[in-house]
Amino acid sequence: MLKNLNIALLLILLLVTVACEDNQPVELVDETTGEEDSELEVNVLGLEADTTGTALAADTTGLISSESSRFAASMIVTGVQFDFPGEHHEVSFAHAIFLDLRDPVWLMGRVIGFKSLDLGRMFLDGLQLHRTPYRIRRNIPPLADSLAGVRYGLLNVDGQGDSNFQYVPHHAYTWTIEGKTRIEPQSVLIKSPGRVNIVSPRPETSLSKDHSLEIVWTDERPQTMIISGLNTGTGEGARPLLRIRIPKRIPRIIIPAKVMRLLPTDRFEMFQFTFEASIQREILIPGYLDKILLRVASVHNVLVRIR
Amino acid sequence: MTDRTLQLTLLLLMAMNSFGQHLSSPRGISLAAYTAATNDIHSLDWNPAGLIFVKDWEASFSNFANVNPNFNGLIFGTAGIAKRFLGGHTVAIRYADGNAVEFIVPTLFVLTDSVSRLETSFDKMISHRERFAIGYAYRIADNISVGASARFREETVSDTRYFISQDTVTLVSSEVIDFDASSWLADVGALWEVNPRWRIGIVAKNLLRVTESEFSEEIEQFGLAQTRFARGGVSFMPLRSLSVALDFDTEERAALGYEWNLGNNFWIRQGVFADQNASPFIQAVSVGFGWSSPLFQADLSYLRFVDQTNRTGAGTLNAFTSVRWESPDWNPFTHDRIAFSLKVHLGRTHEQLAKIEYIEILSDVYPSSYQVYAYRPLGKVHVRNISGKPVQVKVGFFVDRLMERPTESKPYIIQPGQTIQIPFTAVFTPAIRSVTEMIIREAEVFVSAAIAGDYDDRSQARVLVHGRNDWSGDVLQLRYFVTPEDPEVLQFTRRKLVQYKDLLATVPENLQSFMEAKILFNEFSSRLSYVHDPKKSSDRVQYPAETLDLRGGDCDDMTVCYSSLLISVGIGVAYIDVIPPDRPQESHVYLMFDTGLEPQLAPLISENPKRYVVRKNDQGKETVWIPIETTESLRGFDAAWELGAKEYFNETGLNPGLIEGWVQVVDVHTIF
Repeated sequence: MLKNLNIALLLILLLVTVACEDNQPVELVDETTGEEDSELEVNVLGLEADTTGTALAADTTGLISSESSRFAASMIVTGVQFDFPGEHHEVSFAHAIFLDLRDPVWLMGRVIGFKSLDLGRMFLDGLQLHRTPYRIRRNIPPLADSLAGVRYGLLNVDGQGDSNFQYVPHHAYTWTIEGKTRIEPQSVLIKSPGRVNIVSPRPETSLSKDHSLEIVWTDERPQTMIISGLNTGTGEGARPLLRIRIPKRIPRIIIPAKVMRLLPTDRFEMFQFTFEASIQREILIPGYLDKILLRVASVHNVLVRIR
Repeated sequence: MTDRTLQLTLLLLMAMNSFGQHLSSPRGISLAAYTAATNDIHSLDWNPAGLIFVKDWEASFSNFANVNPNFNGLIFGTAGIAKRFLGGHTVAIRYADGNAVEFIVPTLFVLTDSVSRLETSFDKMISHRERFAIGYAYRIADNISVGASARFREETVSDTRYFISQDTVTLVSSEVIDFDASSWLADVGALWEVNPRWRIGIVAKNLLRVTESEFSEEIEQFGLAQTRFARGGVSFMPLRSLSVALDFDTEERAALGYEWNLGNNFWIRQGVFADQNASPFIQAVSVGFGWSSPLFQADLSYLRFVDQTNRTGAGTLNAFTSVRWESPDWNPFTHDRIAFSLKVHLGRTHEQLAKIEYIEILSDVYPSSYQVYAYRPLGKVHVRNISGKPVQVKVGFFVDRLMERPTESKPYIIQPGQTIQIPFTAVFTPAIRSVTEMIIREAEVFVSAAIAGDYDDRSQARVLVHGRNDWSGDVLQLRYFVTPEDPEVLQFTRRKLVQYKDLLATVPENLQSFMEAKILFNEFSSRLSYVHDPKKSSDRVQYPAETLDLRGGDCDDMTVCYSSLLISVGIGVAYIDVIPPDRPQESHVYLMFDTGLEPQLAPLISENPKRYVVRKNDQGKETVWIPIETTESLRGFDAAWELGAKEYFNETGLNPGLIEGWVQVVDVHTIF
């Protein structure tokens, strides 16, 4: 009996000691958020200012991207849709500016900007761009703007303005520079992306910050999404809060509730979702010493309420 | 309930759908249907009434391994101990570290702020555990047991929450918040052993719930369901080596399995689990092996799920939240599993293998013939094998104060379910002769089976112990009143023979016995008078010393006393028992003694051949015997001889008493 008990104790000891592994947890994948590698990258912007110095306002036009701040010169075409509750607007922009980094504007011993170059006439698909004064805002008294050169632009708002100018998706735009002084005449091509068309959320939709938000689009996949806070009637622009990089190869994204909860619904009346798809490249033209940003973007803004 | 009724019930039940949901017992896994077949500490999950089959102390340990591509070795399953006490009560406690499941939901986004990138290890961590369980079972009748068990369920959801702090820069931070819920869930079950082949079990799962803390509504979806449901089960032994079991529950789940004894205590099992409300209908299949010895039981099982979706260590959140399930060990994410357990039986109580159906006492006990019960059965025990295998059974018998130790029968082999009659004997001590009055004593009858040597069942039966002078009326029993070595008998015979030594000296040697018998009879009869029994004559017999002391007795007493005197001097005696078939009321006993004379010398004592009988003595030699009617003692030896010879001639010569059997001649010396 004693011998058997010893054997029993030995076996029990063996059983206990060999069973030293833990039961591994089961990994639960949320399939609704898309592909397995579709991890969202969410950048919390908070009080981050934009590059224009126009203060804390979100860029809803696609003209002022974080990329453009790195270039002294840019030639940009954007097609922008605005969906507000009960309203829909379509705007086409074309904009070009060539700063001369060797000709700064001084104020009180500080460089507040650079003068721009006059390249003569500029054309986009044969349409001549308007020449408008380029002014630098002086943030210290006296608050008068400084005239710092010229810039070029086209604008079509809901078919008004430059009526012959429309943003065309999947179109090869031709920029033509007449040339002046040391800048030689040039002609460059850039293809536009498809139109970003967000079908969800719609501005009529009332959203909850405690629920995840499904973003659905047609045609072109947006590359980035910026959520901005907005208080109507204050005159303040939309304040960018979150920038989300949208992974490639997915038909839609789910903004998790945990990200939605980061939105300060107590501080903002409405939230603007800005979706952008763009194509850009850097070019050099003879006579201009710096790189030039050549960019075409499709932007869709949706204004919603979130509770 | 008859077997046929049960078979019909089984067929009806098979039309339903159900399954079992516990993975604590490898035997239970491989048999699949364990509600009626459960018999160990894991009854805590399957049916707490099954704890009643625990033998004294039982310790149980189990391990398991998940069978998937990420095989990561053995995982500790359960450790528990159970104790049966007072025969019909069992308590059990178990720690089941392996009765747990943990889920991790990875974070599907990365937060960056103006300073850094925030790294989090998970979005949610969800764990369900039922590590502690206790149970109690009680046998309310020979074949019905009830039980209750309680499992402590612990659930935790660890949720990563994010916060933004905004100063000169915007910073994002995270914190893990734990939510806990715990409760006791109680099951109640019953088992009915209809007969050795059929057993029916029923259990109400999660019948009672005592909540210590619970999840808030926000995360309630991550908690386990606490569904109340009932599960029934039957087990049936169509063959001695085969048992089949079926489980079914109110959630339309079922399980079916069998257990086959291959011999040498080696078992093979197979089972199948089904769920009417799931796809596929057949959820899993299982196979297992078992081996047992009196001390150990080892079981091995392999469980294979038909649908492997979500069972390989990863699943979908949708699968988690779309179905509410209620078991940490059996759920949509449970892996295929190999499980092993070792059960150790400690203590002295062993499994009951045999049962006393009833006890049959064949006769009362007469102290005068107490020796005869050592070889002649006093009674029979009807013993049934209630185990599933052949057992070797012995029966013991004991009467306190009248026996030194219990007697034990020879071993008998009983097949499963079979009932046999086992006779038992009794070795009484001489102290039984001190019982003067008729009494009733409690006798204990024991049955031991197999090699355990312990009593499988114990019962009591009443035996009637008569007074020392009581006689059954059987002449064979009368011999036991003869006490030739009694000091008073010896003293009487020695004194008388010394008194007549001069006379005896003149008698030829071959007539010495005849003369001694005559002297003793005359001396004996001269001091005695014939009196009737105080009760029925056949009920009471005096011992010779009492007859000599009381100087009187009836024919039985005289016969016993005179035969004791003769035997004490070496003269052989035989009783003549006469029970006339047409006149039983005239039954009587007298004797004949051996003169030692050879038949050709018979004329030395009588010319009349009707006065003597020639028969073989205890050496097998034919000698002359003289019948004596002791009731004629007052008239002396010759008259007693004459009457005895006359009776004998009438009964055996004129009537065929010996041939027809109503006259028996019994040698008294044969018992000595």
